Amino acid sequence: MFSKGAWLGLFGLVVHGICAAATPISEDSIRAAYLYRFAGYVTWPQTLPADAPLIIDVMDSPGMARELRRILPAHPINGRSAQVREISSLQELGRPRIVYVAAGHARMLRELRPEDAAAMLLVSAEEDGLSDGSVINFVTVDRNVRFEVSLPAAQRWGLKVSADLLGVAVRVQGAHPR
Amino acid sequence: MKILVTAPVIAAGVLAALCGVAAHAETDGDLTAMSLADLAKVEVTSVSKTNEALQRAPAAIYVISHDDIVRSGVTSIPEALRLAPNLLVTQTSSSAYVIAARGLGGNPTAQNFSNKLLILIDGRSVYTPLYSGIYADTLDVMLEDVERIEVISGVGATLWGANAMNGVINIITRSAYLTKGTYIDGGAGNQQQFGDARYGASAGADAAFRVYGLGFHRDAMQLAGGTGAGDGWSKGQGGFRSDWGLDEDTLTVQGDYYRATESTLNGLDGTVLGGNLVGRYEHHGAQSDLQVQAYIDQSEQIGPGGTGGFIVHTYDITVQDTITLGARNRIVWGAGERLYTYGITNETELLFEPTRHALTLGNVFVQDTVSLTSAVNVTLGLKAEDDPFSGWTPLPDLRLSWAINDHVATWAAASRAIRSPTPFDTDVVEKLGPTVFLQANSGFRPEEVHAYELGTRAQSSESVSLSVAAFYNVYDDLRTIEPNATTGFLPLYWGNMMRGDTFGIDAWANWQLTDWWRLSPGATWVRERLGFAPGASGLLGVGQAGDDPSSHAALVSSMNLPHRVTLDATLRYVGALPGPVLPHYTELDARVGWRMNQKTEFSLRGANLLHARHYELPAGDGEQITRSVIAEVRLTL
Repeated sequence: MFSKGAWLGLFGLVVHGICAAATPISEDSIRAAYLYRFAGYVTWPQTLPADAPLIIDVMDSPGMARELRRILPAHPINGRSAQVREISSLQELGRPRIVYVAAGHARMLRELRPEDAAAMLLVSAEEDGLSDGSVINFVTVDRNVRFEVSLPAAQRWGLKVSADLLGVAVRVQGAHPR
Repeated sequence: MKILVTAPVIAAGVLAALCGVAAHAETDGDLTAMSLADLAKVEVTSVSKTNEALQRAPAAIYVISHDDIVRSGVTSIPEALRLAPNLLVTQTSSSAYVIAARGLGGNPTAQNFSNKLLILIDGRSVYTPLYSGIYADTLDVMLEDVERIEVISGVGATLWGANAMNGVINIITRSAYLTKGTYIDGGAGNQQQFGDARYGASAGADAAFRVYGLGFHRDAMQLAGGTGAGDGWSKGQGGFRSDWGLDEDTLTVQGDYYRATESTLNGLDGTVLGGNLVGRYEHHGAQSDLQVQAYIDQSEQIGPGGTGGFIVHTYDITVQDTITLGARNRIVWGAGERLYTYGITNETELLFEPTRHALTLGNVFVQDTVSLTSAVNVTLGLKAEDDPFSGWTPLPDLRLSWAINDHVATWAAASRAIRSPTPFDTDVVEKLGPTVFLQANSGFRPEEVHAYELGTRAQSSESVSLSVAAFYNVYDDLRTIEPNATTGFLPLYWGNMMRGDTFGIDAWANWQLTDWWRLSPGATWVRERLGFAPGASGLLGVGQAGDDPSSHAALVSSMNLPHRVTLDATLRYVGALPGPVLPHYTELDARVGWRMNQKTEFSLRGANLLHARHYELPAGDGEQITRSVIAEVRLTL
């Protein structure tokens, strides 16, 4: 028979084994991977000069900026190097190809207008981001990060979105009356 | 058995609590190397906020997600529907279930079968036009490929269509873009054995497809005294789905074929078979979204030993267009036409006259959602439905939604819906020996409801969300059984002589206790106040409209434990049935799953664990449902 101490020791070993957990995956790391991928499915009205970097402005999301900075140096977008800029207001917006606006900035999304800026892919993580004017909005379904797409918004910005992207979207705005 | 189940729950909970974490990272790979479809499947370790994106509509919508289905380990659609707290799912035999929302779930003793729900699989209506009920043995889909099931309690007639009187169940499968690869699943237990397989792939740059096959055998339930009910059954089904996309256009073609053999106590087998082919074209324009869908569907049943049965062919086309007008108006309009042709092989004592018929069901509808302010929307809708027995009927709908702040939204609705007459209401003849016992009523009118709802959704913190909907339904022209005026009794006929109201509450919540444990309680309360119109016979009483419990509730627990172990359990309570009487009961389903690696998952699931056998409808209307245990392996290659 085992002694009480041996049982406790065994229990401790089991707990220790179970606690050796894998590295967590954050929503930002998945969103950053999506953002990196999106550029391959979107066509902008103007092409960039050959040597110009692709600029991604990140509004109020240090986590997203960190993830992008981690992956972009080794992964050019469409063969082009990419630069991440962190911004905290509309005034700081440069001439990005992609803008990511973290949750809590619905008003800023609504204020961004095509007539005031060059064509950009507006990506958000707002509860009702598409209604606020976003082209692509991240949503979390169960434990998966998914996204929804607004075609009217894409058209407003002069962007063409490929059908492959729409196929994976959890919702294409306007497609169904719900 | 109770102890056997709860002990591991407690032990696992204690272990995870000791750890303080329950990491559930599902990939060790480079996220940037993944396709969009693969990224969609990566699981986040901790979710910061419950997603409400699919639940914004001003209606009582409960969404059963892909994840809920897969984690619960259910093996059929009716079992999956038990996860929705706004539905009451009652198993009556190995292959039959009664599904109802908000009461009036029918009473088989009075030949009134649950008939007030609309159920759709990828836009294809699957309630039977013969009596508006649901044949649960025809509902199978590849559960791994289900994107979500939307369960709407309440009226949904304007947008969703015919028969959406007390609720709509909308089963949506994944696009073929999301189901690439090989998936194999097999399980065996004391009540059933099954196997599923699916293969999906890209077809060129813009298309994807999948093919699947599934088969199962489910054993018989039990009669009173524990003898076998002889109702075991087996089914095989295969199907495909392909999606093409080009710029703003997408085209989906999908189809299924199934065949089932169902045993009976007398040793003779019945057969259930059918198939469908669905085509759907969508154009996503900048200002307009057009959808055109057409399908054909065949559903056939051959009674035991070839006695009695039917075949129904359905041909359906719908067009729907969504237009954005300015900043404030979103208009959806559309039209649809459905043709049913059926042929019935009459039994000696249950006959349809005529035995063959073609029926059409048409509709036109328009709905405008007006944004009055950024927080307030009004939706006005009107559908006009043309059914073959009662002609054009208006089905209006008014909905108001108000986002009070970022955390709380409230909505209100008033609408009208009907259950159109069916051949069972208008054509059926029942005999007792040579005597005609019941002669249906060619003048049967639609059953009608005026529904009023008030609902609120709240996200009180990062981890708690709540949805409550109160309803008040006023019914008229509900079906009754009336004596023949000339003879004083036989043959009886169907009348429209019952009326009354029901009121109650559907409520559910999500509580993310920790990043690894979620609890989802939900309940429905219904009070029914029915009576007969002046001149009615009152035969069989008001209970014929529904042998309904006044409440039912469920508590779902989902745990992500370390080492890729998941533990899910559903405790459900169903109140007593008033007549025929059945005491209240509580049952428990639980599953423990272990994902050994990216490709392989093992699980053990038990259903109805608290009792060796129990009735969900009283003896005579239902059989004893037995406790079952099943071991399963899932391979994603």
